[in-house]
Amino acid sequence: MNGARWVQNDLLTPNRDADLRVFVVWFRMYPGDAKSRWPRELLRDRRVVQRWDEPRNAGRWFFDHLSSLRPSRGGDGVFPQRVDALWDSYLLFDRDAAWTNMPTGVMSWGYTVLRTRGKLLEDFRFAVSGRATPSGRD
Amino acid sequence: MRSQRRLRSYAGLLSAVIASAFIALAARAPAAQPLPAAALRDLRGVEELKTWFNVNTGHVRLILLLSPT
Repeated sequence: MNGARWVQNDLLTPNRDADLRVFVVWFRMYPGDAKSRWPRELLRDRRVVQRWDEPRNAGRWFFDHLSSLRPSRGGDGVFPQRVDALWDSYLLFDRDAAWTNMPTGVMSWGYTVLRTRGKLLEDFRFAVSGRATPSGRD
Repeated sequence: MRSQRRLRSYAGLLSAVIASAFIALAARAPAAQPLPAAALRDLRGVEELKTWFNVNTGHVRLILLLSPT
């Protein structure tokens, strides 16, 4: 939740014109989590799409495939422990990224969003500056 | 004259009945209910995310995986 607040206040709001698209997948990880507790007012940006994922399909998918991704600007070495889904996490992709079997163009990923926010901000600025290449190399 | 008076009294009675009905309905309606959670659509599998991803090729994309608490 704090991660989402940080994304809105520190990434989206100060960069209103940045060429960015955001997909937020919400799902239950704690006993108190529920769809009805979705903080609808938190992410209020037209670039954001949000969905509820009750079976945690997306989180599970990324958890299972994280080691196959090749982040051009580094992946976080810390994984969520004793869970079956990647959560409280971000994945940032360059403009040329495409997804057939596996998504290409991963710039970086991080867990938790707040702990790795410095890296996310740095890579986001790099990506929207137009310097990111298809291979992800400078 | 008498018929006008009768008409007015019928109109008054009708207004009172309508007003009572509105009050009764308002009393039954729950006050300030939160908006239904259905406003947040369910993800239609990883395929929906994949489709969004490919539709937005040409833009920098950020995927966030979050829980609501």
